[in-house]
Amino acid sequence: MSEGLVVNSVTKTFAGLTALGDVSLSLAPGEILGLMGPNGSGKSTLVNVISGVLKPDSGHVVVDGREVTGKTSYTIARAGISRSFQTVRLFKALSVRDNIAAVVRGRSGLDGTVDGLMTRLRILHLADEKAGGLAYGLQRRVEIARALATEPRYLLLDEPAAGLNDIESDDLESIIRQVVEEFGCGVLIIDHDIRLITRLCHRLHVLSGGRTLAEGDPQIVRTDPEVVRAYLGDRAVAELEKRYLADGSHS
Amino acid sequence: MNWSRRRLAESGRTFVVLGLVFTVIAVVIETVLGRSDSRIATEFMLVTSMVIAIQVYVGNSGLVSFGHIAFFAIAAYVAGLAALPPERLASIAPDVPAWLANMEASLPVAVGLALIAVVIFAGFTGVPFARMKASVVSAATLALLVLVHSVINLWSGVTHGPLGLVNVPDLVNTWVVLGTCLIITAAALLFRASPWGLRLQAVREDEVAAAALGIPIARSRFTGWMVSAVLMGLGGSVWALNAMAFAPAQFYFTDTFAMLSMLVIGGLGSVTGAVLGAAIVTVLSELLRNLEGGIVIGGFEIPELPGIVQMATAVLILLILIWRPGGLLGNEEAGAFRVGNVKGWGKR
Amino acid sequence: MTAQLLIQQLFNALSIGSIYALLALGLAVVFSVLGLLNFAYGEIITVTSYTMVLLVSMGVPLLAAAPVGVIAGILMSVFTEAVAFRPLRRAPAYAVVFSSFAVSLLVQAFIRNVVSPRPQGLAVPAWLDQVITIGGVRFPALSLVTIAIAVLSMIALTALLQKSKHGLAMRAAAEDFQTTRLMGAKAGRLILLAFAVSGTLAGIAGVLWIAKTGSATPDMGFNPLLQAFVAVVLGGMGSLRGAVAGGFALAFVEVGLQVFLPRDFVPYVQAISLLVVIIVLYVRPQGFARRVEERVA
Repeated sequence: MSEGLVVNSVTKTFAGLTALGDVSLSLAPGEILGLMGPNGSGKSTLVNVISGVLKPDSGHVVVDGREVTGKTSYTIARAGISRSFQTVRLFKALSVRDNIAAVVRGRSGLDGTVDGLMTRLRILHLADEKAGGLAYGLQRRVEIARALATEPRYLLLDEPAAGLNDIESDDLESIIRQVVEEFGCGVLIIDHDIRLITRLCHRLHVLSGGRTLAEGDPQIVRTDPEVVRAYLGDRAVAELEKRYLADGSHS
Repeated sequence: MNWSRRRLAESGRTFVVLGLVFTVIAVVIETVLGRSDSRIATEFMLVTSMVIAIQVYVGNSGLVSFGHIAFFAIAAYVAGLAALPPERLASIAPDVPAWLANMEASLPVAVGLALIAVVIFAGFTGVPFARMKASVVSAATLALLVLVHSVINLWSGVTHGPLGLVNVPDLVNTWVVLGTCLIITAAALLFRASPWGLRLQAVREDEVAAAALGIPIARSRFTGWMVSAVLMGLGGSVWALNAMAFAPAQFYFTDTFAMLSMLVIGGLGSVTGAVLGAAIVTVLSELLRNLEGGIVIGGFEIPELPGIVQMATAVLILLILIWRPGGLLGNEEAGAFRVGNVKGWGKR
Repeated sequence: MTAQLLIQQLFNALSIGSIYALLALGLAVVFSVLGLLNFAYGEIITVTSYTMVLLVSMGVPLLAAAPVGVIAGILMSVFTEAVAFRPLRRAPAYAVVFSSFAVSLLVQAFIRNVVSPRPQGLAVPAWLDQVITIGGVRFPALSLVTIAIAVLSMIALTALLQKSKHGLAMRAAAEDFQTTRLMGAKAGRLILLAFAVSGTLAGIAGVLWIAKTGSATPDMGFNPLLQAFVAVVLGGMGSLRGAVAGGFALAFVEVGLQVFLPRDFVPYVQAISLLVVIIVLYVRPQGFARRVEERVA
């Protein structure tokens, strides 16, 4: 049985608009892959397709050798994929503890597992608070704890650092690293925080207009002129080139 | 399995509170109340237990069901037919199959048969209903209610049509009623605290997230539907054997609306809410019922107002929905409020 | 089954189906924008009918009373939006089920108390009572008019949705009704429009309904609500074309059952058609619609 999350030539259109055009990527267990791109480039759509919330028009999604293209998100979740959402989707009326406990799958020692996750994400003190009433940054952590409670092989995080300040962001970074080390899952993370992404990720994959623009080593990708142009426009590329010529070093 | 000690403890504390309330009412019925007040109080207990049964599905799944009254109807008729002696049945319901007609069932047998009938019916309907999109389920249950009501009305050979069953043996005393209330309350609280209850609540809160995290949506809804139906069957059959006479009109809109409004007012998400709502609506109905026939207060004549109870309840529901959409108690149970730490149960 | 009988029954089904399709469309328009069903929808028919009964009893000719009836229907629909939907925009989905149901009961109780709990009759003018007979097949004038008006209304609606700016906005909103519900003022006008359109369609259906049945009762709205709902579900929720198809399908099922069922079972037609619907939903939860975007179970 082959390992890895493989996305092969996936295309998704909405009423004539191409949200994803022939996108391929792969993720191995223990790997952290960063997914970047300007707004509207298809990042969330890709995550929705992988997790089964959306069905692709063509292409394949394979999890550890198992074809899951077009299956329901329930089936895909059971195949080993878990995720957090761009707009936090917690079970608002339930407590933090219950949010996590609800997704744990049939084993004994529930309280221990859930407490352990909450401790690791540093939200144990909020265990009995209603999830809907928490501050944004804390809600994001609950979402991650909940996503981990399913013991996933591959974890998809959709902008987990959005709205977090630098300290919280660094915190998140170390949590994700810890999680990968301890659980050995593969992580696909979408975010706009370039600092976080380059420090955390083993590889980067950049989308623009629904298509793959660049992929590979973070240091190289982030200074790729095409990538910079996609994010910041032509003027920024000109600035970048000026700086290269001026002092011959990376900026 | 994934039982949470904390949730069980909360349910346990709530059961103590509600059980006490029911027990006190039962004792008062047996000792203090006169005949007509006793009837009202007993009726209140049984109706409340059925509202709790409905809460198990509606509250935990967040899906409004008009169809649970259909389970009530089926249970009532099966229990009634089983308990009625063959000589009384012969004239009113000649087409009842011999094995059922010849029975003059005792309480446990009548209830048992009713439960079997409800399980079969709820099982058959539960599967398509659990797979339906949430936005449609409510209206589909309305269709279910109409379907069952019209069959009961039309199949006079078996049900005695619009005239209903009468002279059903009175096999129920106050303690049976109390027992029924306690069993249903305990089951409802147990389900709410159970892993299945928790999963259904997660689906209620956010279906998309729940599915994406591996919670089986249809299966969770089906479980809630079945548990709720069985409890409804229990309450309904005991009700029938206490009421002794009932007709199809009993199992249609007026009662559906009354029970659902109790839930909405008290709080959909909690068993305590169901009881509170039932109390409020019952008191309100009794007070207003006197007005329906038109009365004279201090020289002023208040004219007949048919349906004023319904109107008042409808207005109350609208107000509650606008002011407090979750109902008075929302999701909170009586057991949620506790003094200090409870020794031995869960850690802080 | 002679050809004559077949054509007769087909025509009946077409005529009944026209009303069901109109009803279903009205319900589906609101559903497609909000993702919610209006449980006070049947009362639009009721209000339209009572308005017509009132006007005709005062001597107003039917043709003049009809547009007023439709306007009354629109007002009822918009009233429901203001009382049962708008204040509950942020409430969970089930709240609207109760609030619209409550509005429905209030309207019924109001009519019972202010007008009368007993049926009110409507006299239909002689020319509508005529029957054209061709080759032994009866074509009642009213049925012909019904089919014509229903078809015209549906064409007009399609034009509105395809061509006008508002129509396009409504179709866009239909893509994501969660967002539409939360959007606030701008969406508010759109939602109001949807309810107005819904009220127009139901109002027209109401005029046709009361002309056909000739009598208005306070709880008359329940049956149309049920038919509309069944048709919408069969057609696949939110699909306007599906709602129309569902309306005609339901009519064909009902007429078919009436023709083929043994005499004793004919009263069960409604119950059986509901059972058929439940079975259809079991086999194909999305109804006639081609595919469902967010599949969960």
